[in-house]
Amino acid sequence: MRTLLLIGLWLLGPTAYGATSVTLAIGHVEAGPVDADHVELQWRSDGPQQLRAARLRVPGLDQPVRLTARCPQAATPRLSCRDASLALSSEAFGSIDTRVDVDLATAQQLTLRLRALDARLSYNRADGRLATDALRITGTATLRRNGNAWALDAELRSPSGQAYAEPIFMDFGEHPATLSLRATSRDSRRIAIGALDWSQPTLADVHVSGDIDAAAPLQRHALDLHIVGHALEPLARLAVQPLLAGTRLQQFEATGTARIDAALADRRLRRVATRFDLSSARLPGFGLAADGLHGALTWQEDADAPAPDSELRWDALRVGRIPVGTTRMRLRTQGRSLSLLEPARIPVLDGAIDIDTLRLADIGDDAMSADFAARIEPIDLGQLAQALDWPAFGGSVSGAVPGLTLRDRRIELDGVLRADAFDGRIELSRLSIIDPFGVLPRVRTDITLRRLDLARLTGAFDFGRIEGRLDGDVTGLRMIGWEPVAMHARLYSTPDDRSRHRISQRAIDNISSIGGGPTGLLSKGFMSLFEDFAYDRIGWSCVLENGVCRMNGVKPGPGGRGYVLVKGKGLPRIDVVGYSTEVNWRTFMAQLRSVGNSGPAQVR
Amino acid sequence: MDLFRHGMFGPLLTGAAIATTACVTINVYFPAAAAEKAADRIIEDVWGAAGEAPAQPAPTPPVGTPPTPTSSLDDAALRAAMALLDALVPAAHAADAPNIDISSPEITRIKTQMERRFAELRPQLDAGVIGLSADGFIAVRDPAAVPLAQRNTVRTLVANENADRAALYREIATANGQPQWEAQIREVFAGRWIAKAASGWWYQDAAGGWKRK
Repeated sequence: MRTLLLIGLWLLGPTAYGATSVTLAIGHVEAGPVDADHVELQWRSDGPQQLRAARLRVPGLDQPVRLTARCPQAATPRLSCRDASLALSSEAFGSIDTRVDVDLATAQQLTLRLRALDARLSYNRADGRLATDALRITGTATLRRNGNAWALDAELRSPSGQAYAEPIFMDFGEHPATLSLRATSRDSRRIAIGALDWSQPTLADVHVSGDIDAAAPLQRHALDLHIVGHALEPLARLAVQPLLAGTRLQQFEATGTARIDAALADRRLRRVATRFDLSSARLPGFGLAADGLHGALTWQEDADAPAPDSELRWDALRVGRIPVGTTRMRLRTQGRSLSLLEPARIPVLDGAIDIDTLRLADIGDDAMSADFAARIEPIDLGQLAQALDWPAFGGSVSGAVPGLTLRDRRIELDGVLRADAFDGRIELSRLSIIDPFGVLPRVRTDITLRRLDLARLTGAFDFGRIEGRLDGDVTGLRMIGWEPVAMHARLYSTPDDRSRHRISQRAIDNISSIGGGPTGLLSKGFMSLFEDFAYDRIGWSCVLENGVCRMNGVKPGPGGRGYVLVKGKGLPRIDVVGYSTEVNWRTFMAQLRSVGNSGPAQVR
Repeated sequence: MDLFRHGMFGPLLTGAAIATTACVTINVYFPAAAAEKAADRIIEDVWGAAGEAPAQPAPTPPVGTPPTPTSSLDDAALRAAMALLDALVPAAHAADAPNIDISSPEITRIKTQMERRFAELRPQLDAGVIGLSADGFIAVRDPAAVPLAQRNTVRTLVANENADRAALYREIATANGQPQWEAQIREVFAGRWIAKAASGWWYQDAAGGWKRK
């Protein structure tokens, strides 16, 4: 339905020069979804022509648009106009000023030349996902049409202003951009993109070429993409971090350069090759920091044809506080699987982790599975302890992980990690990582301690001296951020141990404080004559659940009250009996760290 | 066929049913009322005094009273077997006053993270930039109110909060040994976050429209 309300029409007769001038003023006009108020058209046979619309309403914009088109010199019959100006402005998006040459032989044969574009856009789409603030775009373009064939050349620049296209925010004042495009079509159905170049010298260049379907450009296309990242530091902040929001990768940082070459067909990635040379890269969510990280990774969708080999290497890596040495891994991707082509040696302190097999299948799927085998070449515990800021103690860690399973957001390691320490043996088994990529990664394991030399152990932990041997069983140990949150733990004197069993006053003080007892009782009076005492057995157990540790000892205390932590032997005989059965784990750990507390205890 | 004719099928089936159902966890009801109380405790911890103090002392009636079984057996014979089982093992019922455990260290950790984040989140909730969605999460309600350069900050804040909320619902279900409760727990929370929201905050109704409290 179209209505046309004519307000006025002046037809001026032939002028002295024989020219004709027509002015048409229309109060309101509706044409389909578009309507306009105060439209004025001036036409002169030999002078400038002008079209003005004061209030043009366009669907999708909540504010009207002002439009002015002016042609200083028109030529007929071949409808052409040189240096015409077309200006659009609106509260909704800002202003667009253009100067255009139009040459229209017929509707099928035309040349449109955009001589100058100067747009200042401040637009905000209702959903907030697309917005610009004082975004300036300048440029030139030429469109030639001949029947169904056409060719477009355009070059646009954005020297200032800001834009947000979720999830990417760009300040073009800081990172000016140039876009140039060469595209042609023979039949208006298929568009050949000769070259589309997006260039931001301070960030990255993107080059695209290929074919797209004019009717469904996002669905049907075959494109080659080349991305060269010049400065990864701002690129990671502006383009990578926003994509990783809400995941543990979100604080990814890198400095260096990278290059990605990819082939995209009908919304599917067919082939990707990436090369990167990073002077540093950090993933704080996983405690990873690398210096000199280099890689060439290739992947292709076609699983039957393996992609060219990939390589990853770093000069130095830090996993948490543990330094890892130069490593090179040769990898191969095949469809959704990734495998290590040859064993890789990852130096850790003075030892190493040797990965013999690594193969991941169905990556990104719930059914993702892994084939993994690794060995640990002995790593010096002293150095490890130093790196982790633990008390200094000797020994070494070794072991083998013959396999691992991925299942229900869990990584379960087969095999046993073995540490030879304190002249005894510590074994970690049934090690698993729960929800490794989630909000709350946890580690779960069982620990077995056998025949640890207490003299060395107490020496390392500055606990007061105890001589003898210690066994321990910790099952179901669950840790969040290296803090135990659940376990069944039992530490006890090695049953068949025949070695000398002595315990110092200070160690008794400390054990007494574990049981919620006082310290310093033995340093008074008669007892202070003895530096250490003989003992029969030591034992302590803790069932940790929901922040509370239920404690027990080697046996119930006298009269069934409390529990015996140290069972004495000989004379003077010292028994340490604990009465705190439930303690808050954090308080307890704080207590252990700062030795010396008070409370009820019994020393006989 | 012969079994039917000789009337042996019934007892056999009942026997088989007992044998099979006895291995299945039965009568596990989702304790909606307890879940609401648990949700309220967590919300009070996370929002502190910011959320509405118990202005409505009587919370909305529990979603699922009388409790609905999370799984049901429709076969008449099986129901008979169930009745028999109920008589034999009344202890198989969920406890009379079902409780939802929210004391696991995982829940405590997530709660602490959310408490910390609330300092950042609150101004956005007060300003109506972020609102409470109908599905137990939060969403950007009015992105246009945020300067362009900060839109990603708000988006990240929402994404992180929602990752924690998803983990919270899952961990509550896991801590109670009923991973399949996750969606129900999320629904209960969705209602309670909105019920306890401070006035002036925005929330989404069931139809997805934004409303101001």
